[in-house]
Amino acid sequence: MADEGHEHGNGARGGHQPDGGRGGGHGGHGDGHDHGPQSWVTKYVWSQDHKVIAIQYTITAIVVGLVALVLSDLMRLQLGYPGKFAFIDAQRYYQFITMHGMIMVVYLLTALFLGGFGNYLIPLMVGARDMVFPFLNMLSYWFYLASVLILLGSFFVPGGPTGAGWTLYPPQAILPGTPGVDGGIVTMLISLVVFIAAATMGGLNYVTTILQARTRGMTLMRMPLTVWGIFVATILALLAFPALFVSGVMMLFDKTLGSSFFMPAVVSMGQHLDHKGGSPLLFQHLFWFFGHPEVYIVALPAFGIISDLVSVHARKCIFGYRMMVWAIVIIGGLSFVVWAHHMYVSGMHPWFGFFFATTTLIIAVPTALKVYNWTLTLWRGDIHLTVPMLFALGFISTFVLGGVTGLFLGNVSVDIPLSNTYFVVAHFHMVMGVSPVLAVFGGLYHWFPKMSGRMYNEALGKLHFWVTFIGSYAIFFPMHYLGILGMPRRYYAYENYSFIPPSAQLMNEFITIAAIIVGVAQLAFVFNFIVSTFRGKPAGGNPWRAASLEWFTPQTPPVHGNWGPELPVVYRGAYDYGHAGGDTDYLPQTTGPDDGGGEHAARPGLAPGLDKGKPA
Amino acid sequence: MNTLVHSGAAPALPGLSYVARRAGLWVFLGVITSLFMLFGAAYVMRMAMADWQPLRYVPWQLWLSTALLAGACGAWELARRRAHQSDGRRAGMAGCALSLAFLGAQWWAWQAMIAMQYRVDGNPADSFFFMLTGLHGLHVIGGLLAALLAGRALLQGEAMGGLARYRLAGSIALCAQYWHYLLGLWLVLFALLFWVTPDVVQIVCESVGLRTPQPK
Repeated sequence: MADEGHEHGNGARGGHQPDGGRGGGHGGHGDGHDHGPQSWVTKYVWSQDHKVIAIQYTITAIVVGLVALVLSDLMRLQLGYPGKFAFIDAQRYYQFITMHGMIMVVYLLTALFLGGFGNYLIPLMVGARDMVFPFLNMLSYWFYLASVLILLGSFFVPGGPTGAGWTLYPPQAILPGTPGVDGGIVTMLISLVVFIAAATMGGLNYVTTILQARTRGMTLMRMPLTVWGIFVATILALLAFPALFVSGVMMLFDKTLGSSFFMPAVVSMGQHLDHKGGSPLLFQHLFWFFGHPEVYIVALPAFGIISDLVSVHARKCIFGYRMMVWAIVIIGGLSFVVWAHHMYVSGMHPWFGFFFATTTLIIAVPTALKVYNWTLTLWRGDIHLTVPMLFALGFISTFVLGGVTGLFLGNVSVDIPLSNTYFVVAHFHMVMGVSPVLAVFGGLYHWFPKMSGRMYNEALGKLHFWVTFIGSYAIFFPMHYLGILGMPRRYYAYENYSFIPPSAQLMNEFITIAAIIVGVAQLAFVFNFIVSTFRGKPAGGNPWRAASLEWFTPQTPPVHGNWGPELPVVYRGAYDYGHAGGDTDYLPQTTGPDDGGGEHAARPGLAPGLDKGKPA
Repeated sequence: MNTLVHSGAAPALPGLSYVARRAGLWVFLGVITSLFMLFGAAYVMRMAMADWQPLRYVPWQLWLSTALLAGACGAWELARRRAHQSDGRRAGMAGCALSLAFLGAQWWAWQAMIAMQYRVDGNPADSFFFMLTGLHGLHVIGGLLAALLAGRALLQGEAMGGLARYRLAGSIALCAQYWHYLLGLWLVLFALLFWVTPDVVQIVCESVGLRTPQPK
């Protein structure tokens, strides 16, 4: 409801009209927050411009992500060289695990895909001047920043951050013996609640903007797949984050007010606690009702971005656009009925196991369709191995690997022996760690020229890709074997387990070295982007010769309000590549029938020009 | 939908179109529905544990608060129907006042429950009572803040002419919609807290075959 109030606030100041297209064009954009001279503070700090907010989100997410990266390398130091680093004791090790997982999943990937890419791309791709609720959008970022600061603040509370693992399972999360049981778990839960508020404010904007502020001609079935991915992921977030909110609030009650929602009768450190009768399984159900859709909250935007990258850099219409859209929607729907596959060993009725295994395996169908369609888009395409394309190809590779091991783990009978081993660590890092991160990098390299107006250093970008890609395989591929050996996850040290051969330690040392190399290589990315923002070669408005709307802003980087006096009008889908003859091999979405684009080309489901124009 | 954004050469109205704001509200109501449905699911699942003791005492203050919220809802509906008139705007203010009274009555009901030894760290049914009524109250407070922002110009005594009045009417309609939702939500929560007992759940589960019949 706060959004509503805000509108009014703006209205009282003389109006604000993000859609701005009512004939009045730019002038109709209102004067609430734009166009006039802006101070540095209103332009870059308290900004209501979706592009500035997107960059704020992106930079914050990357900074906190780098913290999580350092934490992962610290964990690897302990696993590769047990006991060599005195400051990594068991308590800290668990704190590093927890913070690494939570930051990477929620505060980096979710925030970057929705808050970063969503904010930047949705209005530009659908032809809007801004999000429909710009003030709420600004609030969303500041709530997100607050949640990040609260989370990082837990490093400084007595006892340090929680070490309960990112799943925060009770009863151990709030019992003595778990690190951070005093302040850490409370700050974590408060931070999550604030994050959920931020994600809800942002999500309301993304969904409403896509539904209400598309420009003329931008039908739903002409939207780029990036927008589709972010759109469905946002709906998932809006429906699934409440489950995390519910479990977080109920655990806060258990921890701070002494209720017994999740806490059974416990004897802890020789003392009977006041809790009784609660159900830890209830928490697991609530958590995974959020946790599984969360996987797709980060995967669906990645799918969309990869589709766009593959199509643009292979100069071909995406194969099966409609199928791709429906696959995103179906995956999103199915993601709500698979959550208990995270709980096979927690115990459930065999029929439930059967049900959840079945739904889990069914998700492989639309997902595989997407992989086939990317491959078919590449087939006989005019593939340009640019940095974004390399990352897109890397994504397909790691995603297939992680997806296939998901088929193993989706089966109850296979999951039970592999549960809690490094096989699971390898699986989920490949499918929802490395893959979305490669999509993030691909997207950043692809849209950086639009965001900054400058080009990055290509050689450094390629170096970044190859080290990250090969390094990820070096880290996670061997973990499958460690897992099959039976090496359990979440252990601080692996001494005196007769079933783990000494060679496993050698493998762990190798993985640690690879992880440190990959970690250091990320500095190349940070350095490249910082330097290129100021010193890069001017990129021009459309360096990739892409057809989608965001590349046709009058200025690069786009100014506040995005478009000139008139909003663009859209005549076709975003993937009209591969035309022979003429000056270019593609038709921008804004090309009308009179500008040389025949009506036949206007349907995105078709691959116009495929019959007449063989790829070069 | 697009036609609403591109209404040709129509003069630019200040602020967002009502349709976009209403769409935003619908999405938000979807989020709240998801939130409280999940709380409801957690409530019923927790109820299945052996230590559950249903709430047997309904403080009369809850009936008062129900009446107050229904009154607020009615006032907002009146405001929506006469949004362009000053009495409509007064009805909106009455809706806010009744909502504040609702919050007071809920607080009073809390005190009554505490006096009867129902405590947040007691039986989980008691904990749920305080948590769910508290969260519902927070949503009422959020609505009041939004209404306050929407009516800020009015409260500051600015003239309600032309476009400002048009916009305020839109906000009033959205407030009315939100308050109708709040009333519906409260009635569902009220029923959930006091009339959904383990026996009721058992009967429902038996009838759909989720649970085997228990010997009486």
